[in-house]
Amino acid sequence: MPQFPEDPEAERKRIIKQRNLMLGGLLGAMAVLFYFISIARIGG
Amino acid sequence: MSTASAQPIPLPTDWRDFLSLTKPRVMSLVIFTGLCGLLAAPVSVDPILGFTAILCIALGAGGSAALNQWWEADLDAKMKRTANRPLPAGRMERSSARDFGVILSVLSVLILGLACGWLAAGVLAFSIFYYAVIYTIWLKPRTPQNIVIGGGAGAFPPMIGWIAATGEITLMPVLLFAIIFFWTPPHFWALALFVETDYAKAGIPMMPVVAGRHSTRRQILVYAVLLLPLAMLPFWITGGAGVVYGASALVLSTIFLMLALRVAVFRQGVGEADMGPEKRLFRFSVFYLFALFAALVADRWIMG
Repeated sequence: MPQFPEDPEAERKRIIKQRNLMLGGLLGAMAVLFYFISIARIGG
Repeated sequence: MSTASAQPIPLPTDWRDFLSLTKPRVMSLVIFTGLCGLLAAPVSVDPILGFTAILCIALGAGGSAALNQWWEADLDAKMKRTANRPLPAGRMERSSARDFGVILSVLSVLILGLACGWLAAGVLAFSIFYYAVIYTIWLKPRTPQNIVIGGGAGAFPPMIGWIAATGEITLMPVLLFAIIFFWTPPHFWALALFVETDYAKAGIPMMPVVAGRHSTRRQILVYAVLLLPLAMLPFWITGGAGVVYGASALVLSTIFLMLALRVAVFRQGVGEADMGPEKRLFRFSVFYLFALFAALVADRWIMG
């Protein structure tokens, strides 16, 4: 990954957008996981 | 192009750098052995809870790996193998790595406790503390036995998997722990023998640097000798593994011992600079652990 690309601002926005997407995805996945854990615990 | 007066501002850390903090390659072995511990346990596990247990073992391993890299950033910068990691390469703030490691560690313990019980979560918490504090911060820079001690950290996953499934600590998960504990020194010392100069440069008291190659080779052999009966113990004890595992353990451990003998004793015709036997032992040691634990699971499924 280039550390100082020609358009740093565009690169900065791209990285932050990717990070936010990853974080949002992980939080969503965690919410789904908690839902299924609850079902499994109640079911068990 | 930047002008002489313009100071370039570093870019934010890419998510891939956070991922690499968790040492994904090491994690694959952790996930595999944890999964084997879970699947080899003599109970049926709810798939969601089983998945959660493995996820938490992986998250805990990732968290402790991040804490390890946070603490060892200066050492990593001195070794070619680790110099391009996010911290020594300057792609990440040290505090980010520390916070990331703490968050992953705490999350893994909490989720495992809620899903599979607090005994498994307690062992996971201890394994993270063991790797990040007892091994990384305290003993690794102080003793050439660091690999023996570090082996303990890598030995926890199958034990945690088993406890997550059964909710109790019995002899079998302790034996799984012991197998990885005794496997680790010959595995890492074989590696350390052919990357010796890198460790010496970083000032880490790795066995070949402190005790010399001859002594390291003898100790590799000692652990390989001990590993054979230890790997057979799950077959010998009542309620342990069956003949599929027993036969696999015997064959695999015998080959491991022969390769260790080649490293330690029968080096005729092999120059001191030729690290062929060490490389062969290292490569086989990785296969050994995968195959041994796969045999344990296969045995449980075939023999019931």
